[in-house]
Amino acid sequence: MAHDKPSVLLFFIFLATWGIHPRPTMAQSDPSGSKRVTDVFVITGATLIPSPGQLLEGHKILFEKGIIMAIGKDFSVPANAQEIKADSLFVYPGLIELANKTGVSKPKIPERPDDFDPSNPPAIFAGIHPYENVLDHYDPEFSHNAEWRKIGIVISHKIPMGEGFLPGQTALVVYGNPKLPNRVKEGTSLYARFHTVSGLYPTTPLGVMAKLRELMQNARLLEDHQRLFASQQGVRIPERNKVLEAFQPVVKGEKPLLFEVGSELDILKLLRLKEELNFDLILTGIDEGEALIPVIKKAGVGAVLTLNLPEDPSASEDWEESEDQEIKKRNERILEAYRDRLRLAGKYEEAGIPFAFSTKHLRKDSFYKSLRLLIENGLSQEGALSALTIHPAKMYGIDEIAGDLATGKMANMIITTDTLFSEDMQIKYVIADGYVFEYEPKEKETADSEETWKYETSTRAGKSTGEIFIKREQGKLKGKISYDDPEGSGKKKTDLKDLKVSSGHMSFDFEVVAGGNNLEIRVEGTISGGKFDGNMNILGFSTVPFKATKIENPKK
Amino acid sequence: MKSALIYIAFSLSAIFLMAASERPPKGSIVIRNGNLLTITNGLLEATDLWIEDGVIKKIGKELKVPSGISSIDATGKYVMPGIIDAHSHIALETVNEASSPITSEVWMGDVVDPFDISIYRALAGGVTVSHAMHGSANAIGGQNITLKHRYGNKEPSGLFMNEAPRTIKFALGENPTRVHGRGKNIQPKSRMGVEAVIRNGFEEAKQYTKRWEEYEKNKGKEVPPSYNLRLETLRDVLDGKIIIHCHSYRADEIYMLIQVCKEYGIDKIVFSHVNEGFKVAPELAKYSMGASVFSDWWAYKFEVYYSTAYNAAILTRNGVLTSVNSDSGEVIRHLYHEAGKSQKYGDLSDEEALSLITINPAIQLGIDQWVGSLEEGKHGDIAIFDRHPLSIYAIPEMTFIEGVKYFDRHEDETDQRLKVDPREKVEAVYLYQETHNCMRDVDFFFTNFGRNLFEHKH
Repeated sequence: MAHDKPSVLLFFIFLATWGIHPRPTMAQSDPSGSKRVTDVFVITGATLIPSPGQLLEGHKILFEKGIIMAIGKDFSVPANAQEIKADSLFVYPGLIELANKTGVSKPKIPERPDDFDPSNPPAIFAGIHPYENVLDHYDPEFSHNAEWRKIGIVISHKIPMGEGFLPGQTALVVYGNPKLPNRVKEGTSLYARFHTVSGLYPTTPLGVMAKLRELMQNARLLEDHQRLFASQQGVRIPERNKVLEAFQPVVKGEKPLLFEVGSELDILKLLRLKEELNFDLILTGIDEGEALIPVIKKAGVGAVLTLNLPEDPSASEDWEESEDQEIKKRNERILEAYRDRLRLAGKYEEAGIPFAFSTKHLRKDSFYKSLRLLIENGLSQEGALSALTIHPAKMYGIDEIAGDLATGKMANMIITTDTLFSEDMQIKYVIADGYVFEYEPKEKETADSEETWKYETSTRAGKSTGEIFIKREQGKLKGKISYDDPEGSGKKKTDLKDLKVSSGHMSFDFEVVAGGNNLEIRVEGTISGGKFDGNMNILGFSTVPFKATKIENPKK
Repeated sequence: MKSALIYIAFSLSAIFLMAASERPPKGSIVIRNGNLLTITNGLLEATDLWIEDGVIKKIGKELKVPSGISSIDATGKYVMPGIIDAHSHIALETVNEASSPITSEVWMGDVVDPFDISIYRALAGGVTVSHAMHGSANAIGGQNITLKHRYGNKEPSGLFMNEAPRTIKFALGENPTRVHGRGKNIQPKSRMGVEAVIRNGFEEAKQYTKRWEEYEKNKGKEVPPSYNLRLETLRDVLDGKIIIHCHSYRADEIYMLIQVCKEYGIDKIVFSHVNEGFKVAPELAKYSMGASVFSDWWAYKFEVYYSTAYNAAILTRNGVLTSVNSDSGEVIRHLYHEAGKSQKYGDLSDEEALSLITINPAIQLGIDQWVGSLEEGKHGDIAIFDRHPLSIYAIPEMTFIEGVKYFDRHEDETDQRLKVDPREKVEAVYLYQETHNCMRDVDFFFTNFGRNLFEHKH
């Protein structure tokens, strides 16, 4: 009996687990990157954008064990190289995001002692643990990392988590095989913010500023003490102070302070602090303050703009148009403020500041939407790509190994169906640290529609006809099929399962009860000009041709 | 090591001098034929006042000024020095670092908000200078910043009055005991505790000073002591480099702090609110830089019940340098009314009443050599009223700071906000505000009580 056959069982299992995947995949896809038969790959036929503003046609890229071995037209490809055919596709450097905390957890904070004094808490309770390495609290296998990789992020700059304003040190990781080493660079910066532990000293930006001044001065003094101890007799042993020691590279200008800002006033606070205390500074989360661009440039401060843009105020539910002149003017100012936010990245580019982007607080599905909005408002495509590749690579000193496509660099790239920022662009492959992740391009959601197909097929029982009804509602496909009832006369209708329709392809499954058995039937084929040409596979029995024609004006 | 020390010395002064590098805008203008309320030289009727490059160049009849200087006809109008508010919390992002009974290390200059619309509202009340203070949650609060209301300047430092000396907030009585004692069960829980906290602070600062002095003596051999910005600041208070502005209500606590200051050799202290100041007026006159009071505001909590609207007059008559302050983003718009009320209750002269909001607060802030009266050589900070400012019908028409006009009742646009949040909603405008007060940002410490202990604002 058909349903006893292993292949049918497997098919059921397949069906049952189908829904677990966030995006349906085809049999040949490998979104996990784990089915690896070789570590040598060659990409052929693609249009290459090795770095922002450059474009190469007819070049191949060869990479082996995670390193790009060759880019060019005429080099011999090793026999063991697996070919990634990328005709009509585009290859970009893998994207780099800054200040992301996906997969990061908080370090464990001990229980507060009984005699706890909130006005003078030990550093750990006040959220002052700048010595913590984010990599000690990072799970590379955290599922959301794969989701970010799927949109093209290959290197992520992880920020530490904590309750307070000095949670620890950042690191760059690659979203390659999560079971293998993925640290690109650690201790890249000391992360700080104005967020504090409620109710404990320091609570407000007032206290944070004072505390930072004090910490940096004391880090210098500890340095003096250490020097004295190392060079003279009779000097008492310097204290072991993890907090101050973590600040020593900062005061020596060897490590930047990466500071989360919430407003242009925050930016000004930190510029003042930098001027007072002289340290390297990178600001992250910038979303306003066009007027500060020249100051930021002059101060040589690293700038990381947020991609988490405000919603269009006029699209909000609360938005009210009014004939009242005053309200009209006020509305216009809100819109102008919104447009200023959208123009900011373009203004940074215009000023020649090599800024990067942060994805903190950003929803994954807004990533390209935000980028396109910024591009519509003055940011160039090269500028956007630079902010996601070479600029962050330079900012954190990994430009020798990442950020663009060149021989000797990490094999980090994305292969897209269209140019990176175009509306229809879809990602076909992401290559991270030489691991190839393949994704089945998602069909574009189309408007609600209904269509009917008339089909014809012949089985051993003879010629059979019927209709396929396909309904598209809010991007979801539903379908039914009518068929000659094998157990009697007349037509029967049943739901289609796993229906997929694209411009060139259609497939679906359905079940027919015949002789007390459930027959699993799969139909798959190509669509061209209103004609469907494919096969019907009665699982476990036979495969027969299946042809259908779209009816232009079906009778209801 | 030497470099580190020089560095500390440099950065300490740098914190407070940073803004000096940017020169604030200055203007030239001649105001013709106005009634000048000079404060220090009586009323000069139908007189010209010429401001050049931000400074009052000349006061006199029918002044000859170079061509190109614009003029304003002030015939029949009243011209007074820009009003000064010695106790305010406008233009601040944060008011209280309420997490510790002493927070002398914090500095309000770090959290100045130049976008605050209250600055414009203050200008519309003729106020050109305000003392942006830390709140009253702590026995020793943060260091304050004296602001010039150069509205439109988007950088906080653009509002700093760089000439002004450093000041610091102290607070006595119910606020610090409630925040720390009742809120967190630490010292101070009583008025005695407040005194102890202040004394401990001063004692620690003395020990700290000693540690650093010893280190300096044996430079190169000694291990550097740790750096403590809190005690650094208190050392400067003890050295008379910082003026104390102390939130206080009751006569006993005022007298207590006078005694403490005498003991530690501190003479730069101004008492704020001082509702029972009239009981210790001779002591205030003798030992302090005076009192900064409300005209007639009291009974918002227990320690403020014993009060009188004659306070400003009694203090003035007893020789206490007295000012009237707002401590509010609303009252700051009509400080000339507050001065008028003090005059009405206590029979002060016009000059005495106007001094309460001009030269007297200027002296208390240590800025009287630049502002507070119409005198040649002082800053061209001017408020023009259509009538005498002590008239209840008076309306401020224009306000200038250093010769630059920042408010013009007839010419300004309706919407004077400098910044709009793209996420904000357009809603009806309510004519009250509640955020600029002494106890802002301390709510957290009272959540355990299950009720709002802070309906009062000071």
